[in-house]
Amino acid sequence: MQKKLNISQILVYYDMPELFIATDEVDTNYICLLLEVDENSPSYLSTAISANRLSKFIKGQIELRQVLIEPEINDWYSFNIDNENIIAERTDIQNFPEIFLPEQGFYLNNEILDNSNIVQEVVQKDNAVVHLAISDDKDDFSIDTDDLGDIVKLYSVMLENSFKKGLIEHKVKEKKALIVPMNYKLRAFAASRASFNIHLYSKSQKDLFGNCMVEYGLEKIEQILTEYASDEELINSLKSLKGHAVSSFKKILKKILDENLKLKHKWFAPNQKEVHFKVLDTFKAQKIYDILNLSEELTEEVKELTGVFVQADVERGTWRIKTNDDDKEFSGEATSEELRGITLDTVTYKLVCQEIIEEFKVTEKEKVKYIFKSVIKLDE
Amino acid sequence: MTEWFEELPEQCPPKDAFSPSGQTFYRLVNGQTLTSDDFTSQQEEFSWKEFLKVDKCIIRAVSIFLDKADCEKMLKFQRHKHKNVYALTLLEKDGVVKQTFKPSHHSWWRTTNFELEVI
Repeated sequence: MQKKLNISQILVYYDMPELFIATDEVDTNYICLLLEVDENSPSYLSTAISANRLSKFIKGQIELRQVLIEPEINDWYSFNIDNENIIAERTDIQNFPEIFLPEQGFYLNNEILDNSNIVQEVVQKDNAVVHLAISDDKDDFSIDTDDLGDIVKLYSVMLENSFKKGLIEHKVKEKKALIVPMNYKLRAFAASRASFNIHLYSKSQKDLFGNCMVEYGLEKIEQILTEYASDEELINSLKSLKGHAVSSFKKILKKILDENLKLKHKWFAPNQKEVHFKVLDTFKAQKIYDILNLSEELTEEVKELTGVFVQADVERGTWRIKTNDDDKEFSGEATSEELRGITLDTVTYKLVCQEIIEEFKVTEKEKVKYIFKSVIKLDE
Repeated sequence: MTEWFEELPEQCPPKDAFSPSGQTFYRLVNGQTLTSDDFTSQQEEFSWKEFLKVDKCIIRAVSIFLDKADCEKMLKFQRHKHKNVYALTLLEKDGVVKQTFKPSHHSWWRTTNFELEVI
């Protein structure tokens, strides 16, 4: 009997995958251990493992030896890897061979102390999962639907902008190709008590080590929700998100303060060693909000556009510029004074402007506004 | 021009790999006498065409750990249990490294300038 397996996530890597998870055609998980490497190829032995048991193994609650000595189904499949496909053959062995058993005490991670089922959800979804819990002063596991809608929308915008900042910060190559909704949008799939707790999962691109693209954004959000010892440290953290991400964060803070809400942010992803959890209550929100009000420039997103003006209306204070790079038109506002003397169509300018994103109700698309800051004539 | 110890594919090492500047890393080696083979990738050793879907660049790198305990943990596997943990201090001339897996695991692309004596 054969199984065609697809590698899903490498759990332990040392020059080559030592231990990994693969799935068969019906999405059953198999834990696969490297036994030995001969001149031709490495050979592995695998057995099916339930999502529940796998999540316990990931949480550091059971050790590898136990997983192998006491399999849930005593069926073993062996395979060699000599091409991209894994064709595993059922073997007749009754037990995992002693000579290949790992020593006692191999836990994948230090024990992850978390009472929710987020790790199991990550195993099931094979991607990052977020629990976003919202409570108000009633604190009765329910929430006003307007508050819920607003928070989810603002969080979604903040995640998108944080993701983009994360890509820049990590100097990720070919950024443009990665800025696609699947890498920063989340889908709701469940809710639970503990405030009103919505469960969201990502369908972002993931590599074999379990690194999900959406983590670039989640890590940035984690960073700004961290308790800092001083205001300076907090400001430095906010600086790394300067622009739209901070702007959307500020809107969340205002919502929390206006409606007396509390937000709990929990997330986990296949490559993580711990469940991340942060709380944003009115006390913390007020502190950050006050700092942001004193540092307006943190919310400002500056954009540089190089191209030719196709319109500059001094009376109305409006302009349009066509960029040289991608032939795209941008339009915005300026004072009459700023637009005076602009030459249309023939002169290339470098325009520096402030980009403002106005979010509307949940289902509406955002509107982008550009405010003229300065302009330099490049050539004629 | 950098001379890599192994033939590397295009755009390898990745741009975000960094030059070490005296950091200590840990690797498992065979026996007490070190040889160059202790610091070669599996691709170099076995020349497999493809290895699962692991990035061709990463499979040509050598695994090292920043955290000694993470390296020691590998000794729990039967195929590594007779090996020893060695500390190596890497300098800029030795190549570039990148954190590629759980925080402590790094991939090291070795140059021909790496000398065993530095260990």
